[in-house]
Amino acid sequence: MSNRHSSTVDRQSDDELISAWLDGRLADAERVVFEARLRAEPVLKRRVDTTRLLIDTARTLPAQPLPRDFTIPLPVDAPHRAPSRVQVSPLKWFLRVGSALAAAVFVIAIGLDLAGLSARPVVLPAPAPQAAFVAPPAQSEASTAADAARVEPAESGAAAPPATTPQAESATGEQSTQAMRQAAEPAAEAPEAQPAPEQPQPLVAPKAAPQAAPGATPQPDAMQQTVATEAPAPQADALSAPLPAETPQTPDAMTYTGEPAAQPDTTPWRRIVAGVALVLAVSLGVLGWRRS
Amino acid sequence: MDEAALIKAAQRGDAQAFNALILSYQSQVYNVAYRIMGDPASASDATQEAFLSAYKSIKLFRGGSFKSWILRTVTHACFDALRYRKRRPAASLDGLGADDDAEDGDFEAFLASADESPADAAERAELRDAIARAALALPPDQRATFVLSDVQGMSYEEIADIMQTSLGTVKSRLSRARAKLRDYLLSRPELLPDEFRQ
Repeated sequence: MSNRHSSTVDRQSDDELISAWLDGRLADAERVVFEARLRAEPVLKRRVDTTRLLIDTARTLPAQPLPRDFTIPLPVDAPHRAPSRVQVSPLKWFLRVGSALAAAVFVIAIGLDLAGLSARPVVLPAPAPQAAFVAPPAQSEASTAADAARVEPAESGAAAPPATTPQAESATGEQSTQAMRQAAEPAAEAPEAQPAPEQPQPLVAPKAAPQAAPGATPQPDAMQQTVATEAPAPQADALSAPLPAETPQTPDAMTYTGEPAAQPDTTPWRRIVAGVALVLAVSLGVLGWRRS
Repeated sequence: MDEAALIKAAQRGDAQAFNALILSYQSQVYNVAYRIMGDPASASDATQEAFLSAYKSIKLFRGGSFKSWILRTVTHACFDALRYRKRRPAASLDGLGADDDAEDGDFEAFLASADESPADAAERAELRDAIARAALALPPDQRATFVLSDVQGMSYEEIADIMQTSLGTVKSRLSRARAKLRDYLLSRPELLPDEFRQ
């Protein structure tokens, strides 16, 4: 066992000596000893000769041709990589811009239509226009006061929208109806309903409306008076009272001050414009797309 | 432009300069990979991997021998590939082509050799082929040391630099590799010239 181990160690040592001697890496003293052994040991010499043959043959192993070039592909210059500007023909440019403009007009028209729908005021039935008619200043104070009593509840019901104040919320159609009834009653009862009718100037609805709507203080009184002086006549009679007939119908005396001046309804025109714009946008867009 | 200037240019990101370095060393790098890997496809992959790795890390090169640095890179790439191959052994059809390439190379060497008789040239070609095949059976570190030393003709110091080991380790690995190949040849006397047969 020990002999085999020592022989293996000697073999490895001999191999290192052979390799170093063949490469000229032995010191002078080692080289002299080794060369003496070579002359004395044919087996060692045979190993050395075979190792030399091996080295000589290995150094003649042919170089393999390159299967391909291993250089790294250079990045393409930026100017060549940048896409050239696309030349747009005038017709294509017109189609594109026209389509965009038509689409914009379509969107604006639809937007205006939707905005008009959302901003349209809630129009209550008949009382408002009736209350907007006021008497001329030439009438007596009593009639003026009666008119004032006639106007204020109606104004509070007609001009104040239902959602303005909590008090105004109570002024629903019933209140308007009561105000109409009160307006239909004789003028003699009016001074009781409105205690301070000292203003000789005629009440103008646009001026009275802001006073009535924000404060809405006269409303409870008006409500109480309306309830207290509620006529036993049926509601249909009060509603059918010929109120316009009580006031002079001369054109000079009539002043419409309630609703803003009636504007022509432009909704159909908007829709027509929107439709035309939509058709233009789609057709020009399709033409531009087909030509590209 | 000398090598140092090319290296500095490559470190500044000049791919063209790095390609000039590749052109200088790609044949040697590929042949080292080929002798370690044993087939053209694996050698090509390892070479490509080595150059890409070198390109990415060229800024980390701190001087010294660029040849040793690039050969170290390809040696590591080969070792990685061999470890991967050991974990996932698979028969490669590319190896069949390697024989053809080797035979072509031998034939070219045979034609270039005017001093040998055809019989001697054929025997020598057969011996080279046997040595190349036997080298592939060596452990990777011994194989790489044998290739760098006896095939590429590098010194111990260069090999120690490439393999990042000591001179003593290089000597030991080389002597073991040579001894194994020699014993293989002695066990196949028909491969040896007549004067070596007993």
